[in-house]
Amino acid sequence: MHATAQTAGEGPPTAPFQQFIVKVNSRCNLACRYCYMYFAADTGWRRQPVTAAPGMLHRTARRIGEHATVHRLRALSLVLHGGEPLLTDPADLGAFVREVRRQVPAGCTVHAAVQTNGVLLTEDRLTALAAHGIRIGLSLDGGNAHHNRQRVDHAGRPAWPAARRAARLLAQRRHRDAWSGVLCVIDLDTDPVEVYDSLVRLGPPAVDFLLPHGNWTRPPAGLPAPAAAPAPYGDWLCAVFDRWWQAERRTVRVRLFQECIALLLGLPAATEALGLQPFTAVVIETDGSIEQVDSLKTAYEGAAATGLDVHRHAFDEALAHPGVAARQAGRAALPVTCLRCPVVDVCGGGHYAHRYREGHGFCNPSVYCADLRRLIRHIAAALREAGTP
Amino acid sequence: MNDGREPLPDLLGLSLAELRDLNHPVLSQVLDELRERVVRQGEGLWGFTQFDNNVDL
Repeated sequence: MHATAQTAGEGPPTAPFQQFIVKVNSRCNLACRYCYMYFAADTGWRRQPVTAAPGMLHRTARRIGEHATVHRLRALSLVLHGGEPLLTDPADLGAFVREVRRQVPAGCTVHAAVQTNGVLLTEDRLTALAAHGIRIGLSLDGGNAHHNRQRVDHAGRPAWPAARRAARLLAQRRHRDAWSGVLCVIDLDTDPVEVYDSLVRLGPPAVDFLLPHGNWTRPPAGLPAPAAAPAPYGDWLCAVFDRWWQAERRTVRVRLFQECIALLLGLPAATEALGLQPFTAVVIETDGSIEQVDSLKTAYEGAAATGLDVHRHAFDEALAHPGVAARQAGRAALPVTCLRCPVVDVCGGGHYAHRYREGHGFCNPSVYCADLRRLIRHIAAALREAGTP
Repeated sequence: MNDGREPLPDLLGLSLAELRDLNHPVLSQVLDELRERVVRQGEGLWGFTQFDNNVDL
């Protein structure tokens, strides 16, 4: 299923894990209609414990410390995820983060964050998280109610009123350092400039726009695109880019655009959406299973599984998994079509999960190929014009 | 498909040093952060959808 990353005689990939996504809960208080966790091909979440047990979290902290020690990591990212992580008491989240910081070697900085839908974020919870050095990432699909119409609870009620309260709370001066940014999933039925402007008005320090997960076998909404408009997501993103780029000052960091610029200039980049850099994130499920990121579950049942867990295995054993290796293989994991493309060093084949085609694995161009080319060329042209005296 | 075969605009002549005196407010701020990234030698860059925690806001 995964592209063969190594030939006989080659050793395992050398890039250690640096990002640990820990599922503190396997359930969510929302039922967003496009959710890749609960409404995609994989149903494994049903078999997971609802909450991560203290013993599992302790074991996870020790394994992270072990990995950081072996690989002499100077920094690592710890993402408290789910489900919805705020279904867990912030005091317990803080205790886990404290444990990880105790387990890693001296000089290794642990950057901790939660990624939350914001519905349960209160002043008290926010203050508690910040006191533990945990930053907050908020999931919103725009700054107006109709942008978030797909973000509903299990009874179909909109999450927007509570999410807006969370954004307003985070934007207050005393909390600004705790707010890492907003993740916004693109909806082609929305106006891109309106979405961007409305998010800017909420005051986040950074925004990232995410292509909804899909692949050639289960295409995202709007794809395959009509011949008259072959890159609808690319067009949507270009409209946002122009709005961002032509402002009198940079009002917000937009991660996708900034990483694209970095790649165009041949600089280090960090995004799952672009580039050939090794992907160094790993997931720990609520039962302690070591898995690849959830987005792979949009491909097929069990796509993210490794068969390993923190109780019995070190993270180094997961580095040897063929799926993990494929995500560190760069060009070696790409089809000839991509290797011959002029934008391959920037695009990198796009998000790995978006390349899946049933019966052909992941060694394909992205289902968003036309969109990525559209956006990359647009940004390259803008960069060229800006850099020309 | 012509778009797929055409090369990207020539950006080889652009470097962080040469782009230092731009009159482009957005790009200038982006480049300041990218210079810091080079100094840090790429430390603290996270691929999973997360924001760069090393950047001072």
